[in-house]
Amino acid sequence: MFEQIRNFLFGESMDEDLSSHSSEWIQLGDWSLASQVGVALLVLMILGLTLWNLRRATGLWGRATVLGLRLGVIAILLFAFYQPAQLQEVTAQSTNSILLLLDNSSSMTLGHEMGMRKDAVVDFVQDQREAIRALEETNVVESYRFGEQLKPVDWRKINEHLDATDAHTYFLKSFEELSERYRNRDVGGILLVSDGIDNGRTSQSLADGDDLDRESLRVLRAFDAPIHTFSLDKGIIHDVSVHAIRTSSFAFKRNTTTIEADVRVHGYTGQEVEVELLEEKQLVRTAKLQIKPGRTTYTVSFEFSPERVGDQVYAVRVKPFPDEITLENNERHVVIRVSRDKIRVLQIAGHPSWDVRFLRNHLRQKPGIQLISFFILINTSSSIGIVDPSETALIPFPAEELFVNELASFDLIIFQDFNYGPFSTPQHLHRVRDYVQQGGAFLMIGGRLAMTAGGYQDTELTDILPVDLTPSRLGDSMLDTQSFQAGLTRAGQTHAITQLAFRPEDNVTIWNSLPKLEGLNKTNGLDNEGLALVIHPTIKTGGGEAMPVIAINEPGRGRSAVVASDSLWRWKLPMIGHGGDGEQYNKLLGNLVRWLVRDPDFELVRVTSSKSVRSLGERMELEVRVYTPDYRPAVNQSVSLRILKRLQPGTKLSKPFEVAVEEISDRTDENGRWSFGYDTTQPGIFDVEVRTLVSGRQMTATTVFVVNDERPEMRDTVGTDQLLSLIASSTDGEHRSLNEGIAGLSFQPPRVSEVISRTVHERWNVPGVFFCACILFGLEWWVRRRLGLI
Amino acid sequence: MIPGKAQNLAVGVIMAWVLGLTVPISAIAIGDGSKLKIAQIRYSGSWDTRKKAPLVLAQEVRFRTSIDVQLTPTVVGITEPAFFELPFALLTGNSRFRLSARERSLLKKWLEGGGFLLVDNTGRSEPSPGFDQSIRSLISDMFPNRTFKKIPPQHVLYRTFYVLDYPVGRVIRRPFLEGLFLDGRVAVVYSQNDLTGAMDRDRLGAWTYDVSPGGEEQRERAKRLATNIIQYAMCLDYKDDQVHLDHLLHKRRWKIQAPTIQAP
Repeated sequence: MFEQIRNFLFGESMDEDLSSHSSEWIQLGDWSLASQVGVALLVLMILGLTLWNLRRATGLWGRATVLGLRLGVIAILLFAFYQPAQLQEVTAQSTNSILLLLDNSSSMTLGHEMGMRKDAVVDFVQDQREAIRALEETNVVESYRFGEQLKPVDWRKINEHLDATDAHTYFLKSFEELSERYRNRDVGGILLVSDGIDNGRTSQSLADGDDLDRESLRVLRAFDAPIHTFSLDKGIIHDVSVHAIRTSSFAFKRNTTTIEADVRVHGYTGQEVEVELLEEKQLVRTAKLQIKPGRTTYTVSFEFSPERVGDQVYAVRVKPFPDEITLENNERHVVIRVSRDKIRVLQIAGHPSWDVRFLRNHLRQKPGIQLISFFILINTSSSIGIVDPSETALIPFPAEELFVNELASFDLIIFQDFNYGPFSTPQHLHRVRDYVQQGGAFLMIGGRLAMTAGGYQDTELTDILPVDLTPSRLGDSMLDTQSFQAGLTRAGQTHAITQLAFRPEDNVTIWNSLPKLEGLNKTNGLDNEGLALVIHPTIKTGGGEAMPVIAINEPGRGRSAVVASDSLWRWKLPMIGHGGDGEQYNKLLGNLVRWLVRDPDFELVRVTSSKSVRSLGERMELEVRVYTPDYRPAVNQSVSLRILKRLQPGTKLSKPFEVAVEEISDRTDENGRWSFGYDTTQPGIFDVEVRTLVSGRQMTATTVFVVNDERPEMRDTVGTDQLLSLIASSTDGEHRSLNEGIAGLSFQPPRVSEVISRTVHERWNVPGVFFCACILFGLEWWVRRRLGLI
Repeated sequence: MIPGKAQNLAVGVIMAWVLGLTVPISAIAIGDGSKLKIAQIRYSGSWDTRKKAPLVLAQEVRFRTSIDVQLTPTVVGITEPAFFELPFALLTGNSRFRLSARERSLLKKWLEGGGFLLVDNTGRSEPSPGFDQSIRSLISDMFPNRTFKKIPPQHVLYRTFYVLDYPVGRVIRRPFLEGLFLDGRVAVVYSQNDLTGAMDRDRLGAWTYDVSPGGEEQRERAKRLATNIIQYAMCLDYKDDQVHLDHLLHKRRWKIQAPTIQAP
């Protein structure tokens, strides 16, 4: 009864029996500020009038009573004005998610006791299906496979969904993606099943220290739930792998360079492992490792001195054992760009002369050149023979040492008016020829002992020189002693060697201002695809062509040049006497040497690759840069490119090769660049060849890259428990083996509540409020009357 | 007993005969411009104190080495256009002198461009103080931040052809040579021992001056020093290339020891 009366007067009470509910007072009246100010002023006015009226009343109690009653009425009116109500919400806890992550990388195809690793995972899920179903009663169990990508799967059909085809395992990336998916959802825990092999950032940072890095910890802890990890039993796996190679990507020719390789050994003990270092598939060094019990990682260090300039492919290879689980990881490649530290130049002069002296002075002043000179200081009939040898500084000409032992160590050989007849030199000239054809550089400078005048027409050097040394049929002297003004050919006007000014017309002007040369070695014209850059103004060859003074060619893989005069020095000191500065002499010689030794900075066409070693399927980005002869970017330059795969070990671009990309052409952009992407579809060593025409001359550039057949997952076939253990421990999870199952694992309880119902109980418009207002108003009227106020 | 002058005459005749018969076929440049010409600098002063010495020097170099030398004497003024065609020059004297501003400017440019200057103080009884002061003043004018430095006994100049311990001339007043170093090479060599005096001949071909204290052996050493200087001018420091150094140091056990000059 009482409850009914109360409900009638003050509205329905809230249901206190609900297990989870909450209530709060709310205000339904949404009055503007102006309205509230108006009401406040009205209240004040009423109070003011009340006090005015009460001035006539006698007795303090009377006045207080009237005032109190009036305040009560005002309070009730204000209560009604603001329309208070009680809001009641009923909530209930929602379920959270338990995530099952299963490794789907290709390393899961490796053997594990009776089958593959993935089979063990499938068996595990099937064995634990009852436990998983029990989890589903209070949680939502969602399963994913991960590796390169995260993909939801149905754990009930796991044998269909797990195919171990992901080429990489990225733990951190997978957790990041998972975190994004469950950003606003409650995760109670994660079950992670893997062989522990990670190809991503997490294991890289772990390799540097003993703990997970800050970023990995942040991602793992973002779920605020335990991650329980399960590792596979290792079993006995037999594998030897080259896990990593460390070396600088740059090296200097003939400077000691080190390649370090980490070799991992599993399943063997007591045997010897042979590790090889190969350069361009040729064996360079061998090292032997003794496998020790309990040790899996070994570091091998190879020291060697590169002998060839350019991009060189090196490989570290471990000789395989017959029962290895995989041979994919037995060899790793690296490409090292070998540059010259110093250009080694050998200058052999038949006698001291001003031409010899000024050339030597020029070369010795170049910090990038290491110069060794041999000057023949005496003649065979010289009187020096009667002097005690200990009184002279003369040494025997070391023909054997130079041409047999040390020839290949030089970048440039100069024969300057050198008589090859004495000192056992004739028997070595074929070595000089071979040296050039295999990539060396040779410069012959004229004089009475050089070229045809020196009898070189009967030597092997005729195979590499850009000029024909055949003597004149008429028996004319092959020497001309008169002065002459050397002139540029059309090619010489723009060629990098003879370009002393950018604009051809300026170049010609400079050349015309040079002092006259004196003396010329005549030839029978060009030979071996020679190119004349500088010619005699009047003397012609037997074929009617202008007599070459400076000529160049590229025999085999090398470069050769001839300067058919012994008076080039006149462009130095006499030029200064003519008011010049002699710098044209320095520039010309500098250009000549740099061209001969193929200075990369001198190359007007360059091609580089984004990474020198790629895995199969990865994209190789190539960039071509072309410059004008003054080294400004060549805009809208036509360029062609082809990619060749080497079929046999050996030298680059030499046959046999297979065309991987047929020649394609395009044009450079406003920066003189052109980019080309190549999707690697087959493993091997590839040479990139780029051709373009610059100032009328064909220019080529090459680079090399390697595509490995190796799947990154196979780099190390045995994962460690360290990563899985750390993931578990850093998230308050447990690390177990598969056969321990998931029983007893702890998970976070659901942390998210849902509002089931919401009820508003209005308290301002109930009858009780009306009755209270009437009672208070009536009492006030009665008291006022008693006091005589009305 | 043959009288002294007749003896010298006989030696001269025999030498001429020997030279004529045995002068070797040396390598020669295509054009004359590339031959070594020992140019005597003509200046306002006692420039020609050793008239025949340049010829004898040229003959000695031709006789001993493979250098193609022009035997015809060359005399040139610094302001003449031909001066820059001649990378080797000889400046001798025994009294004070001063080059004009233009001569100094051209000489400086010539040295910086690669020219080599052999300076010889030909003072009779002692190195001429006037000449000495003049040459030092000249160097100072041309290169204010540089000065002559002693050429150490181990410098390559002493082994470019012959192995020499110390410099000599007609006399041995200073057991060292001085040099002006430019860009790592010795561009000027200064001798105060009257080097050219040891190689000067009179009209009849006899030696003009006796050499003391070492006599003819010292004269031979003076010629060797001159040959070395020429070789250095034309080969620079190639004997410093390691391969030569190794051979000389290890195979010949070669060392340099400077003499001790007794005070008179």
